[in-house]
Amino acid sequence: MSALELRDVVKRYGARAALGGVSFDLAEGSALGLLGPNGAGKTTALRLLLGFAAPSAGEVRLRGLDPRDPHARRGVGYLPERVSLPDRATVTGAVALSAGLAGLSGADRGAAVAEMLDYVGLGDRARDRIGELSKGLRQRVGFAMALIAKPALLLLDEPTSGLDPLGIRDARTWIQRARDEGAAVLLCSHVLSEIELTCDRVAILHGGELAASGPIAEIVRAGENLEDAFVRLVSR
Amino acid sequence: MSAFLLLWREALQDALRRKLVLAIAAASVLSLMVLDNCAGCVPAAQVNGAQVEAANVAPVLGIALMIVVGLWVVTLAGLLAADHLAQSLEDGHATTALARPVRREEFAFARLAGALTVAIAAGALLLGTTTFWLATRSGLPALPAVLAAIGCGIACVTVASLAMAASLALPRLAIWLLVFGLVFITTVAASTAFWPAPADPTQIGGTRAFLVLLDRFGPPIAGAMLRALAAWLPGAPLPADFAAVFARGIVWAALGLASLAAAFRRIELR
Repeated sequence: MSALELRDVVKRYGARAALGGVSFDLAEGSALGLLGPNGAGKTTALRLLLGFAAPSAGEVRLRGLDPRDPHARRGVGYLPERVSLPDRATVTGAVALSAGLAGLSGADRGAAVAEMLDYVGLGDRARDRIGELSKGLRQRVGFAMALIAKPALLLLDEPTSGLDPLGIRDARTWIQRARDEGAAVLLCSHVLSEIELTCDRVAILHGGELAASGPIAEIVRAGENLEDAFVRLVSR
Repeated sequence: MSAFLLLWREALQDALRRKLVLAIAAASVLSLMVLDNCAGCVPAAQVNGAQVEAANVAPVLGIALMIVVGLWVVTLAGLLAADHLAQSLEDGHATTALARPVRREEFAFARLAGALTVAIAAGALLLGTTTFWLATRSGLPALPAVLAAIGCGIACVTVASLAMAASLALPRLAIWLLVFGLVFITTVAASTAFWPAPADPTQIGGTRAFLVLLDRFGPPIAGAMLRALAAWLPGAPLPADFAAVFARGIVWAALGLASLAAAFRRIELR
């Protein structure tokens, strides 16, 4: 069973098609980089995968189920591009809520939250209010919330946004470790070097269409890096 | 702890952080000070130059006080609900929760419950204190007030859920105006039950006919409270349609909840 699958998916907003018949999938335990220029349809694809919107045509499957079915989102960790949390919530409170909604309860939850905060380098900021945190530290909270219940599928939208170089290296480590533990990863990013380091396959969207999809080694020609291949594909 | 309880707790904390709650707290303290004066009925009053016994004044004064406080609580529930869900959608917080295995209805009802908890707590304080003062100072029985408070709670659910559902499509100011408008018009409609009917039925104008229809079929926001409190009037038992009006209130509350669930299920999250 695929961790996620889009089959001939069309998403229209009025007359405009944000996605025009896109198909790709992600096998369990693998990592897919979803690339594309601004407005290519990456965020729309993520919204469909999380059940936030319904496709105009085609089929979206998340762990074999319709993503609008809450059971489909069991075991899914999601990190949005902009981590939105109430300013007056505490770091621990935000992560504990995410853990609770993911199904952790009681003493397990408290221990998991403390362990996760240490893991993402926020152990000494556990009691801080979200409003007191920098953008980079909020992003770490977002990672903690996404990773807290050891997800089987990670959906990451620009995960290194706002992180400093140390944070970017940490994020790469966290994603890699999640993969090592068996999680499938869908990574939307403009940072192509991150994709190269983290993913084994890419899907490149351009103007709502799939410009290319497959293992990085097959998409990148001799003498090219992923950036060259990306520019070539979206300039056609 | 279930997802609903977790989300309700968070929604309640969000509601308590809002500046509107400070205004509510201040208004509630002021209301209690005013009620303290109003509920202490004088032994006798002058009406049109004639001496009226306190026993005749207290029920009318008590009904007026309870209705004003009840309507304030219902309005408050609507105002709090007007953006409690919409705000969480705007700031992206809703999507963080809904990316988890949480049903949309669960999230929407938890937000509603968070707003209602604040409104109903304020209502319990204000209506409870008013009832206590009216009972101890004017000797009015507590049961009609308790029934009126239940009617007020049902009306809170109706107005808040309708306001929250409408907030998914309309701006906050429009919802606030709708809440004020709904509470006002249904109160005027409820009062038609106490107007003398014209001797000639053809004299019933369109406006009155509309108000009568609204009182008969619309959400009984003031209507349920008025009917419960009518038992305070000397020699007046509970009105015959009391149970029917309460049942209609429950039906409207269920309709409000259903419309909120349907509206939130249909929208696309950003």
